[in-house]
Amino acid sequence: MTPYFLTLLLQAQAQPNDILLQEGRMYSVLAVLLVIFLSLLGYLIWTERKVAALERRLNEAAGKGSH
Amino acid sequence: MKSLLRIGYKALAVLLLGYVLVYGLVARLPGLPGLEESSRNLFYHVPMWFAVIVLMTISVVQSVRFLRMADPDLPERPLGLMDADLRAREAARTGILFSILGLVTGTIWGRVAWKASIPWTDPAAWWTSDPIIICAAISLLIYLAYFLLRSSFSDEEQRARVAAVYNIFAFATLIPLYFIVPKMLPGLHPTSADSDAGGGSFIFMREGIDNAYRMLLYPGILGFSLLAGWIYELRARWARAERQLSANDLSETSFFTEVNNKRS
Amino acid sequence: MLKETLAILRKELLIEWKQKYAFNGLMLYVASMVVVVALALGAVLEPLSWNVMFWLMILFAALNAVGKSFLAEEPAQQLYLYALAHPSALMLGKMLYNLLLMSLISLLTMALFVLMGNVAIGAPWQLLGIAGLGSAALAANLTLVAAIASKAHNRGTLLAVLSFPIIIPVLLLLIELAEEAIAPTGKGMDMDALIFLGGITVVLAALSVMLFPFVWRD
Repeated sequence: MTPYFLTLLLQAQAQPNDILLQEGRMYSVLAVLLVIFLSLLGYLIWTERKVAALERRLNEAAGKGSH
Repeated sequence: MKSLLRIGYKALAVLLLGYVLVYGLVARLPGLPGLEESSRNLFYHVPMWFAVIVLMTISVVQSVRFLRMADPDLPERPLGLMDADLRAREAARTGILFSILGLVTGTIWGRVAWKASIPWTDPAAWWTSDPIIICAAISLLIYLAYFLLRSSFSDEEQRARVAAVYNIFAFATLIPLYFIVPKMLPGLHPTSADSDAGGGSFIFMREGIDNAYRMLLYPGILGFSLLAGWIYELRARWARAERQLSANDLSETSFFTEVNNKRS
Repeated sequence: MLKETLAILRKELLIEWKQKYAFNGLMLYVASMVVVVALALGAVLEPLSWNVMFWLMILFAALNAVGKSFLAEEPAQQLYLYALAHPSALMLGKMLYNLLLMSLISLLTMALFVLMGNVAIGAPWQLLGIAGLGSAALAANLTLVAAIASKAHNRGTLLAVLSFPIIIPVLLLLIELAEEAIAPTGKGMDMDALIFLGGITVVLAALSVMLFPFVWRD
């Protein structure tokens, strides 16, 4: 199965005028962009938590070292 | 206060980007002949390059910071010396990411928008020899070269020093590359010297944007720059934590003496 | 500082005068390129294409010439030099030497072009001035990068990779300026481009002198 964004891209390749110049297609573009944006957001928040956990581990190690 | 700011700018980025994504595609805009709906790409393509400039500036500032701290006359090795180098590296890396995004959003747009103005590239070209595109590609090459340079040193501090020097030197050519060279050559971008849209330079247009577009362009610039800052901050913190943890694992003692030194 | 700079310059020139290694090699290199271009393409090339060829040759000659400024010396020799002179003076001296070398080479290449390529130059003095400015810009751009590359493991490729992206904008403007000098359109010189070239040369030279102490230290 071809992913949806690839289908869009391939269509754009075949008929460059069709996809970005037509009003009705904006909602498909929006859907693709929103999916990308939300997954990026999820990934960023996940990384944020991971980094915070790493930093906590570091601080604990530093706290132990000073005693 | 500091943590509020830390969370606040990320929330602001999400809000602005949500607004720009949804409203930028759905809003009724005064149509531009030849561009029609593709003119909405203005809100995504242009902010990418603003984000690149923000990131590259951060990178060069961190490199200058590193070189100032690496002064051998200082009585002791300052805290966070290598952290400055990591920050310069991560800012440049995120900048490369946004440069690629800028090129991709640009190539999608250019294919549609410049189809009529460049008849010899029929049906439509992914790449045109416009000065601004060439300059953008060269700037990408500069930072790829920066990473090649980094990878050819094995000593951590020497690598950091030489890379910082190259970063500063390259930044001095990056600014004219973006803002001066494209101004002198004719091109297809509406910010080119000979454009009938009023000209400008690189990403700054002197005139010719409708206010309806400005209402989305400026939030977009701010939103994408903040997003870039978020990605950079995360990467820099991650790299720093990883580096210290691995130093910790390698030799417990050396890490702890370093920590003790900073406390005394 | 000035005395040290001149001493370094004198030393570089003396070595070059005794060995004539860099100069002879480069002239042979440039001459053979001009001959190849003249033989293969001479009949179809217009003056403006010669112009592009000319700057490409100068670029590669500069990469060869300037790239050697830190590779020719043994590490022990370098250490000795650094003990004697301030690193900034060393940088400035090498840059001046590179400027002289590049000016000479571009002058002789231009003569070869006129002889073998049958290029009629509209405004010869203008072109000479541009070639001088180009030599200065190339020397200011490449000397520090050569120093950086000499510190790394893979020197040869690194020099080209590091210097190409920062030299291309300068080269583009030089080609634009030289076009006007070879075939004047009556518009006159592009003063903005001239000022930009002068400015970037000065900025890069100043940065090189300021940053070099960080590079050589180990």
